[in-house]
Amino acid sequence: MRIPIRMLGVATTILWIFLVAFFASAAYSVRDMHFYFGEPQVSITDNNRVVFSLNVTVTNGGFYNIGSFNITTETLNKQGIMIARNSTFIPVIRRGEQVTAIHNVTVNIDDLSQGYQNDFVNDTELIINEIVSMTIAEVIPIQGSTSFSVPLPASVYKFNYETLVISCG
Amino acid sequence: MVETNNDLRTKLRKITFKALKATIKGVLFYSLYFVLWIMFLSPAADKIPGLHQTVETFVMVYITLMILGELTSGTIFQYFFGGAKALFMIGYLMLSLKGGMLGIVFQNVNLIVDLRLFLAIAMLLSLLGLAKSILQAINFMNEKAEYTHI
Repeated sequence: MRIPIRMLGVATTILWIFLVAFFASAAYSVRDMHFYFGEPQVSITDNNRVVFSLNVTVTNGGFYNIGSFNITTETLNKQGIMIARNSTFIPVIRRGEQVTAIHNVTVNIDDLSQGYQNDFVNDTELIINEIVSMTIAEVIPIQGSTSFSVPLPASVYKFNYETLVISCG
Repeated sequence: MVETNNDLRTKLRKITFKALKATIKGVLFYSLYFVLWIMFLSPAADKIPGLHQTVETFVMVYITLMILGELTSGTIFQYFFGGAKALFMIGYLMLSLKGGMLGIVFQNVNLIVDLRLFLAIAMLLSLLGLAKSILQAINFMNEKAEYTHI
């Protein structure tokens, strides 16, 4: 009975060392991961769509790969109704690798002016929810989210509405 | 085990040896924790409030149980403390990791770390430790009964 118990103890100790070492090194790896978000670029397309582009550069200097890197941007109006939602997904960022992705969010002003007449007349603001998620070492899921608001003057809508009226009339 | 020499000097020597062993084990364990802390976890401690205190409390209680287990070695209480150590590990991990979903607010950023997999593995290993302690206690009683019978 003594030998099996001793073997059980040895196996448990080895597994504990492996578990702690793995999680400690994974936590340590976070220090060597760098995320760089570039300046957001705004452009308006011919079909009345505002495209926000954001350059995202991820440098993985850690010991392990980063899995399922995902950036999601949700654009909501003042009432909390979702106007646009877009995600950028990178399946794997290998260790020692640098990956640059362009995260685009498209807001359709036509839809905005049709659906939200109240905002159309007054100054309003857009609420932006940014959610970044990934799995460290492809095992530990981690998610960071933040929320901020962008003021949107009524003139932006009015201009587009008038353009729409003229084009329809 | 049949004790042949029961005088005070032998008992004192045994206790001193146990205390020395417990001290060495405690110091080694704390040194290991200290090295791991300095090397890996201290950068994270600046960002996670209360991490240092949580880990320090855990290490203190664990070392205390380890020392008590060492001091009571050769008795059934050694295995009780072994079991207590495993149960403490399960309880403490459950409470400190809040069920595996850790939420941290850092400068308007909500950070959620999913440690459920780690928690599950750690709890299974702790249960294995508890099972080991129970088996050791059974074995101890069994051997004691055998020797008494002889």
